[in-house]
Amino acid sequence: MLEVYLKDIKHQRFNDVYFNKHMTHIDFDNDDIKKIIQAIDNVKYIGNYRVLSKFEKDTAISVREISTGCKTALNIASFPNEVFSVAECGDNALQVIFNYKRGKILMPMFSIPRLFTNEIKVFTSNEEYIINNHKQLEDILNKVF
Amino acid sequence: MLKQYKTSGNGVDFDLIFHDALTIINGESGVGKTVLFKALENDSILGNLDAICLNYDDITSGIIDITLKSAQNKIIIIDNADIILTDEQRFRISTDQDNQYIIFAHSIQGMHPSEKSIAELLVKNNKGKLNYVLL
Repeated sequence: MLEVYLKDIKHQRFNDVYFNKHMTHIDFDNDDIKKIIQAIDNVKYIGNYRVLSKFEKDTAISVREISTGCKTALNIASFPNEVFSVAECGDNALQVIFNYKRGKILMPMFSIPRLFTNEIKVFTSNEEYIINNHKQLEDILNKVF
Repeated sequence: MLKQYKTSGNGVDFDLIFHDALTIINGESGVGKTVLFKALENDSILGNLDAICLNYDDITSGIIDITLKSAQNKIIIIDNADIILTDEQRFRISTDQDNQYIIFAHSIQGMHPSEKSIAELLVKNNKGKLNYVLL
């Protein structure tokens, strides 16, 4: 189950740097990983740590050039025992992350993904919740922020 | 104050309008915010744009704090603001009357932006522009 921390906890803040350092440990040939890249950045992974640029026709670029939000999503998916801050994620990246079945995130801001149906576990300073919709998340965030 | 600027990078042409001394640029992941930042940074390096560009590469050097405390009449462009700016720095930016700020961030916390400050970057057909959602 995805774990969402709304309280301060030891976490990885610099997702770009973490991704660039650990990317050789990410299984880019995994279909789920490819789908994440396509869903968030709308680019296709073509192997050898390269994706097709969506701005420059027929141009392959390094996977290091994908967005920070996409890198964050890949970090969470690939290293499920680490807690990653989602501060730099756009709504589209959050939407993907909140449909994960595992992973740990620190959410330092008020942002509500439009639709998720998985159960997620939310940790505040003094309570834990298991929820499965954005309305319940909104109620918790209103108390915290 | 810089009110309009055109630049390009990675195949995208940006035509930017600024309405306020503080502009906070947000947008979906993958839309091209860092492409825009790097285009502005390259212009700065090439001497086409008189601006100071900061991102997470500058954290360890202390240059972010030095810049915010000492810059006068400058354009300061900050990427990765969600993770590199402290609360104190956000407050300093919000009260700074001397400099123009272009900040890439999802959170506006601590910066007290006006309705002219909050812009979403939109890129369509390789043309990028700022959409001021509250105007």
